[in-house]
Amino acid sequence: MSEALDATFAALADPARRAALAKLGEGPCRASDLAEAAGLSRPAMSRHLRALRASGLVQERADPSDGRARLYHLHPRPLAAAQDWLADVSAFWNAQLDAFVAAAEGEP
Amino acid sequence: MTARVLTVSRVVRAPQARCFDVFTDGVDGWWQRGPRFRRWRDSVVAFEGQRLWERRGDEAALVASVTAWDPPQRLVLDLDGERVEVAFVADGQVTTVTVRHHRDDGLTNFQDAKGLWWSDLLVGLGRAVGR
Repeated sequence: MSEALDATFAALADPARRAALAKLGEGPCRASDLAEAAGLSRPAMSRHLRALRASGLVQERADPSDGRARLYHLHPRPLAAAQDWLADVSAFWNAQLDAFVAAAEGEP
Repeated sequence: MTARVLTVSRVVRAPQARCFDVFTDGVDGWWQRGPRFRRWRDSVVAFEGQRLWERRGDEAALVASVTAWDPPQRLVLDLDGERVEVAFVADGQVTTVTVRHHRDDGLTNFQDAKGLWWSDLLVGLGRAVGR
């Protein structure tokens, strides 16, 4: 398992960060919107945003409507790696268990 | 407590003890062949003591380590550092076999998801970002 994938799962492990990601799923947001969505103070959300940026799940850019403000948005690539892992493990065990059932239900 | 990561389950029309025996003693009969599952095409997979080995002639590759062995209800494997728990739950002559494949690192808070199950979250987020 790659370190990048570990970072993705670690970032997803926190409920406040998941709340922020769910909010970002609706579209780009300012940090203050994310803090409100997660029910956190802005400094607390700022710490979570650092972790999310470090995981690569979230990126920031200048807000086109206000050059001093920052907008956060989802970055799909690490998410895709996590989904790929899930799909991979799921396919592995589904195939294995299908064969296992055939063996267990066959003639003893 | 470890968070559940991925669960795959089957209802098997066979008694619990037979299911456990086929899963363990009969592993080579059902462990899939092909590069996704085995290192060698003409290998044999077998539980030996606390290990699951794949062997071909003098060559051997460790597939998994056994970390719990409770026949006929349960066994737990360490598969490439990931915890795989296999449960056999009897209901008369039918057995439900459930594989729970865990990722321990960083996942211990997933019980706190409060209804936002993480795989749903991943799928939903993936959809949201256009994948």
